[in-house]
Amino acid sequence: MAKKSGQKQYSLTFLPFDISVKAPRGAKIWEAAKKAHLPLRAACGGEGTCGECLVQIKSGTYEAKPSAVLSGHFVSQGYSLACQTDITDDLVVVLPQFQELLIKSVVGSEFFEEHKNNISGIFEHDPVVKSLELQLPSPTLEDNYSDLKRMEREFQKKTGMDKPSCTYSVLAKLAQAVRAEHGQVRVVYIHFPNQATIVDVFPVREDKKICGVACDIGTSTVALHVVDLKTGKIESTASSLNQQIKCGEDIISRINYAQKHGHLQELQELIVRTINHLIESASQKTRMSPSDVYYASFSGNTTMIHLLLKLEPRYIREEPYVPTFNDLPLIDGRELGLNMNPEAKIHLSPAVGSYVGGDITAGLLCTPILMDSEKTALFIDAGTNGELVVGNKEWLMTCACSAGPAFEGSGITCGMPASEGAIEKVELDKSGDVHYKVIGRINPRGLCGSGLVDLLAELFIHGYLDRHGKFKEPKASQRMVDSEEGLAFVVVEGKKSFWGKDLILTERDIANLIRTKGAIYSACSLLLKNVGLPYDKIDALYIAGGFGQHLNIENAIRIGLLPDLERDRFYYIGNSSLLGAYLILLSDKNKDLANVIAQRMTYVELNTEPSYMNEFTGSLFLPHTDINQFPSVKRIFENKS
Amino acid sequence: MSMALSGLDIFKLLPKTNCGDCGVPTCMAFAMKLAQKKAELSACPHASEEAKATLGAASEPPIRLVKIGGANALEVGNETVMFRHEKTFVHPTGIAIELRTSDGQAKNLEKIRDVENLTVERVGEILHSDLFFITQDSDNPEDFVHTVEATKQNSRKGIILNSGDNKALEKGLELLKDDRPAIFLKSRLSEEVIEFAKAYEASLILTAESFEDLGAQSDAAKEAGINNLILNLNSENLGHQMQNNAILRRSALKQSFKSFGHPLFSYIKGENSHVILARASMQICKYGSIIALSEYDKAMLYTLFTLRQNIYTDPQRPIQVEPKVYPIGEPTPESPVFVTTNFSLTYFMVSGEIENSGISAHLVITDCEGQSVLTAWAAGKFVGEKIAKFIKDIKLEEQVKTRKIVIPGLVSQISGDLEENLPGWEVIVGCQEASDIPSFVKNVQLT
Repeated sequence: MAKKSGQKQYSLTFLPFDISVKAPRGAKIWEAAKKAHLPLRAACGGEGTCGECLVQIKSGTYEAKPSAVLSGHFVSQGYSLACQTDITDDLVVVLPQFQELLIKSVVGSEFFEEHKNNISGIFEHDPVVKSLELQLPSPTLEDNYSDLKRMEREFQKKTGMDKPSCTYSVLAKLAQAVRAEHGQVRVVYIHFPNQATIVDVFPVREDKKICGVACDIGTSTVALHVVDLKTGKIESTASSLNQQIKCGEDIISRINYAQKHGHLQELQELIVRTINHLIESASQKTRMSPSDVYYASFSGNTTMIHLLLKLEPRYIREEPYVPTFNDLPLIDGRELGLNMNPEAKIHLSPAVGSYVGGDITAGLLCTPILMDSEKTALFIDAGTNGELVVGNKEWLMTCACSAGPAFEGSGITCGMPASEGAIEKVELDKSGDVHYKVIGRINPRGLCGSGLVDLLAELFIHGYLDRHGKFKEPKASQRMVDSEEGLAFVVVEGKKSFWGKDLILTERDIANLIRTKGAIYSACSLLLKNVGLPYDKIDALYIAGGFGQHLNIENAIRIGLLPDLERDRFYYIGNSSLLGAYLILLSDKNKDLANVIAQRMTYVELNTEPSYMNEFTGSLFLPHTDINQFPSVKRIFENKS
Repeated sequence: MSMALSGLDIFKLLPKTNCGDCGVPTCMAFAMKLAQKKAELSACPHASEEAKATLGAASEPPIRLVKIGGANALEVGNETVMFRHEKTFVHPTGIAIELRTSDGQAKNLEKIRDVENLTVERVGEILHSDLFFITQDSDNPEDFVHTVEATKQNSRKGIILNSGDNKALEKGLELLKDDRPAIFLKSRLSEEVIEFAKAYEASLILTAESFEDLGAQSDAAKEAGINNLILNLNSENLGHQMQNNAILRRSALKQSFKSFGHPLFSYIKGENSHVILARASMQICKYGSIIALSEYDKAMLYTLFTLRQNIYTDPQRPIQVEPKVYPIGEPTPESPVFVTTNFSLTYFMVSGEIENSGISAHLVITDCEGQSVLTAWAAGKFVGEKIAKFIKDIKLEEQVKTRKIVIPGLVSQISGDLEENLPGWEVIVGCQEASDIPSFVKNVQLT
């Protein structure tokens, strides 16, 4: 946009990204968003008819054309369509498409709550960061040792450990701290084997919290727990989209993006900003402040961790797929620009290789896979990048597949992450009515992964879809409409939805979901074939991912996402990467266990596996081109005919 | 009798220490390599005696590899699957041309030279016959020796000796001392032939009329220390031959029946060339390892070469087309330019759909090692920088006047990058599916 003389420029700030751009008077918000490279969706291409580019204007004045897709109720709350709104002022604009930043997401795991004492990781409270109350004797002319010496002496006396080391920031406040309450101080120290480092000191009455952060850095979403390290309890939780999605939705796109000058820096800043936002919003819910965070345990796929550390990621995707590192010593949070205590240390879960990262080694801590040497388990993390592990106490094989973010709600017309307003459960009855359950007490905003799995299975079982995932034409139903993208199924009518417009599922959405489930199932099949293990020799399956709080296993089998085995072998474990990071935060023993897991895993490269394409193509059906692999689904259709 | 061991079965026999001394990071990874026959147990310095015994037996290939000929010997056997789509067929059927002593030396010499010159190039491969099958059907043993000599002098192909006269046979073998010949046995195995095979390191082609007899001869030969065996189960009926071959292959692969774990031979004759072609084709399709043709007919050989190439092309490896600019229809310098990868399926679909759309165009095929569009993109092989370099290397700007190029819709992400690397060009993002090309070219200004 060339700047014309006399044309006033306004500043627009887009939330939750916190990105600002300049735009001339009369330009559309939609144009400004494009200028800022924000991936604002609009199926109609900016015609004001689809209503997708909905924005909420927090401050500033603007001129908006009325639109049929936006009800007065929304207009009065400051909502407007970005493509129909002229800029006439400095504006702060919220993009609700990405508003999940502000909404509580589902990250808990029932499985973990029920099984935490019977998993590979050790559920115990013994964090590396500890605190200790010390009474330093007041100095006298005879006992005139330095403040530091006296603190060290008392510390050694109380712990029986060798002389601790001490950071500069402790020295800087030591004199005041010891004198504030006659030598009564609390020290915070990081307890490494044989060595302690004192990282903070303050008068006892300050009663500061001592916190840690466990964080799962996903390609699409980032989730974290703030944990009180004194008790080991999760104090608060926050999650959001990874702000890097504006630079591409999948790993490969991000790696590509990073190749241009300055982009790696930008990606690093975006992920740091995402994490800092989360720490801030999580700490607002409790009495803690970000400076109370002394230790963090991060888990993420190899690419995400490379980008966090600003390491060149290109060799991850080029043969022979070699990352810069797999495991790292602790690093300083301040070097990354993280909003924590300046002395905070960061632990990164060890990776196995370029496509199986620390999120998987951490995730395995949350399953009993390492408990038994006879029973064999299969672990499936159905994220944007799908990862699989099969094995037991004695051996572990792993592989990765590019699944896509469909089950996390991306790339699906009515998809959304598992947060407030997401439909998490769907049932169709014989009369064609749709019954659903929404997270939170608001009208549905979209469907999360578990809802999409249900919907696809129900549409298939009730005969709306053929095995290719195409709508059967003769099935005339009031629910079927002609959308801009062809035939579509109305899940929720406009009057009942949060946005006031129909929530629909199109054939393109279905194709996307089928590709994603097909990628995961075919990778499972191929991995097992490689090992020489048939599906029925798998004693337990642990499914992780951002589907939501629950996953209907029956429906996941009906669409061919999971193999057709006895239902009691399946366990949905939710965000295991985050839970694994939490376990590592709780006890250093889990750090060692994660290293053992990473070393024991053998990575199989599916890229070089010529039969992957065959397996994958066979999986692009409901449930599969070979129905005999899904006998229970076959029976349903035989009974019908 | 045991089935082939899976990676997991083998893992259970290994030390499970993950010491990495074998060069592979974990025992499981090593086990999988052993299962895929990509490694030898001897690489593991800690393998137990039990592991060696069990794996030694299991790691023997279910169908033995047999070589015939000297420096560029024909290899047959080592097959691991019943059907090509399960994995791949490994060693193409060897085609032998029969030389009969009764035809006289002059005629045979001409035939040898003719066969030697008969090569044909198809999809980048040179196709030819592999062996001579020398039959003594005249009374004078010297004829046989002369034919062997003439063959050896004029050809480097391997030789199968077919003579009922042991003296002539021995002389022939003497001539082929370092050339790993094969001896065709018209009748049952004899002590004398066993000694020949040992002395001259020749393979034996055993002939029998029944499975029982074939198995008995195979066992007897192995007992005597001869392992390089090829099996010939006679039957006049084409249907029976096919059935027999399937039974032999199945017994070797699925039941690990060692007596039948050898390549298969068939002598092909018939009242006319159609019958011969039918019999030979059946053998190529269904497990024949070597066929000896009684007739030499160039037209028939071309047909058999093509069939053999089709059956024995590895279905696991993507077929590539040559990276270059392909004219679709009758393009002029003003015609539009499309670009895609050199995976043959991609090429055929895109070129076909451009043709369907009724326009002429230049189709630029870049080298992506035979990968499809998204795979190549993900691996960094189909990206702006590389496409631009290729277009510059082939000097496309001298061949076309247009400065617009259509890229596959699935990789719209690379458009900016490509434009940056190709100054003066405008990149048009095409449709995602090839089948949409006809409607795409109607709706978009391509030049």
